[in-house]
Amino acid sequence: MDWINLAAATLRISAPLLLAGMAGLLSYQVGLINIALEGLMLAGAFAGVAIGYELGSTWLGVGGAVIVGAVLGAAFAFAVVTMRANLIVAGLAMNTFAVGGTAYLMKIIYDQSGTFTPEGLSKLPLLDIPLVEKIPVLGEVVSGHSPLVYISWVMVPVTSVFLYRTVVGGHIRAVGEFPNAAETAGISVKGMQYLALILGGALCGLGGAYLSLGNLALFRERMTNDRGFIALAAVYFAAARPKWTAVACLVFGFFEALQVRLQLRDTFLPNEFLNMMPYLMVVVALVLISVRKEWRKGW
Amino acid sequence: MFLPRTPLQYWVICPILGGPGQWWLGVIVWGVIGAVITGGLFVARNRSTALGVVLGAATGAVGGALLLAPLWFFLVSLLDRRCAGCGEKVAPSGGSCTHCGHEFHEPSWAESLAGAAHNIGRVIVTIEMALIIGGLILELSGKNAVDTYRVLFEQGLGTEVKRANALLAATPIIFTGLGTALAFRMGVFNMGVEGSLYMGALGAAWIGFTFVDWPGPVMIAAAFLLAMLIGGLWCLIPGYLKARLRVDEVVTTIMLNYVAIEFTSYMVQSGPFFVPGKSNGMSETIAPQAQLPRLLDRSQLNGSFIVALVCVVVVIFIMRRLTLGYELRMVGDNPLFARWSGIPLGKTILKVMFLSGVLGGMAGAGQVMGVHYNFTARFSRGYGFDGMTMALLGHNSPIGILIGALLFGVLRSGSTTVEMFTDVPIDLVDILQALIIFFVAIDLNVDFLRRRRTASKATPPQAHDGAEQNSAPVAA
Repeated sequence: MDWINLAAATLRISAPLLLAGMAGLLSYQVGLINIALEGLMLAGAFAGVAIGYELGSTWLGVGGAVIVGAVLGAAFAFAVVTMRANLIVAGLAMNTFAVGGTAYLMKIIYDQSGTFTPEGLSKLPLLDIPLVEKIPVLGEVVSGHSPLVYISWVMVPVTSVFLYRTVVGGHIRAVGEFPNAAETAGISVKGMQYLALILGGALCGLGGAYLSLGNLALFRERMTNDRGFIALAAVYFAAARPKWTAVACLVFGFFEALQVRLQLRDTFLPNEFLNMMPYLMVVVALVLISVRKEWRKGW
Repeated sequence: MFLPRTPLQYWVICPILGGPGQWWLGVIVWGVIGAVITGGLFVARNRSTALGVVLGAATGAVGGALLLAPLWFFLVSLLDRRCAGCGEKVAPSGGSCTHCGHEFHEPSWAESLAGAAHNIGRVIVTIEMALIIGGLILELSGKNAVDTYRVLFEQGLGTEVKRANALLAATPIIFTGLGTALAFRMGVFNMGVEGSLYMGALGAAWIGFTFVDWPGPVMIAAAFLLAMLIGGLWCLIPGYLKARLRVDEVVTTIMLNYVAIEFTSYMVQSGPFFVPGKSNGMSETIAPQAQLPRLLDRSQLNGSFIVALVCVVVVIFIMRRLTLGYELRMVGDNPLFARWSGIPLGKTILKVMFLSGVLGGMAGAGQVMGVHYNFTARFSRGYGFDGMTMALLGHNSPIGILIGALLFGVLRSGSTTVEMFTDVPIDLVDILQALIIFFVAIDLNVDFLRRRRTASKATPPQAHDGAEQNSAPVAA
């Protein structure tokens, strides 16, 4: 097996997971479980291609995806925070809306069904890191990715610093920990919830833009393929700590990369079981976390 | 609130405005109003005969009593009744108060009817609102909304066969909706009915193509039973995790759905049920005597629809008359109170999750034996998700779910051909579904006004650590 190739593929595949994972982490830290990651990513993916195509620039497409993600995140926040909708139900509504809405718009605007490949829109250029690319193995693995991959790595420490080293981040965590106390301390609970969900929406939009503009410039119906749920699972896995969420995303990305390669070479394990892996791991992780918790409480 | 002062107000205006009591007056008055409107329309058409006017008025009376009265009761229920114990507003029919646990007497017939009318009205109003917003979206994208809806409903309801197909589309949604509603009513957010559906379908198909020399009825019964058992056991996994280890069931059930889909795909694509000659991802065809009888020649509508209707009655019975139903309602309304009253929380969760899965398994068996006649990998078009939508829409009332599923069946079956006659993408139905879920989620139709009033004293939502959060309570 080509290990260098596999490692590079892992980094590529886990980039959208990382972005969505950071988004899920923000909302988890503010005390809201964000099921809508999936839908926000899908909307971002479509917005990236559509806006990029209309304006004739890939980077403007990425920017548009971020803005659309943030706007939808704000709409979600409006439903959940202001209208006090049930979180999970509103999240599912957002996911369904994204699936139906993107397919509908694609057919209405571009008269395409299934896949939309905009003509003349190029994917994002690959970027080599100046010095690192010369290092034999590391260079091949780390260098030569899409810029959004690098952004996704940068987002992990940025999120961490934002949450644990800034005042606003502390407020977000306080609201997640104990909203009544935060309220008493003069923190705007609703404001923080809005902020976390809008930032999360922007990150999801970015992740979606990577899916549609990172490797190829095209949009496919349901192209997020449950990555939002996997990212959410990574957040659960890591109990919303940025570093470990990133590790979990990398692990899931590794499994997906491995699976693509194993599928090519007919192997010992049927594909379906490999597909199952992330989902089963989530269940196992949740069970382990709960067992530990109950154990501490004294069984 | 409007209070009557004169007999005229009491007998006529009160029922119209939904004043104090007298539900039957409302039905009568709205029946008469319907009769007058329809009769008047017939008179206005000068070619109508006297008989036509009378018949029209009679139809109008029935329509008014059936459609307008529930709608009206629904609107009236905005002025909800209050709990005698603590004075907070509560749901319009029996059970216990969500705020203080105050027990209500078993609902009288009138109250049950008002409750059912309330639920039906809510379902209809929500779907209407989704259709209106969907119409706006259509108009914005340059389509003719009225024409589109006309085609949609013609395709869904136009002929006998099309009506039968609508019922066919509604069948699995009724099963999954009921299954989901049982768990939701208890406050357990079981999204795993889809997984049970797949596992149950596989079990039913296995019986169908293995024991080919069994007589038909035995085979059908065995297939249903096995599907129910497997489906129930599948839902017991997250149920056990929830009851024993307090694992958040939302995520586990979603994840186990994918596991079930992949597992069943494996079984027919490369596992033991793989048939070399057949097209990819299909099991052996089930024996002819195991195929459920069709109710109509030219439609695939089959016996499983009858089974679904029976299930509606059974679920109503479980919820209203059995101890289990009482327990699950109590756990759903106020888990703490239920625990102090000695209801075993864990056991109730296990039982209800099992039942929930049983209904999912029946949905799968019905699809296998009534429609596909084999197990096809990934055959479900999101039936579990549609069922969840209906459970939310009907606020876990079996009648509400039935009505919702029938309406949704019309939308689903009508939309499959709507693309042939108009240039409106089929994805419109997804958007409509999202709008329905969204309206239910923000409970615009009932609770919004009330919330505005009480918003000042309410605490912020979802105040827990996410992992510890028990299922966000589903409005009951």
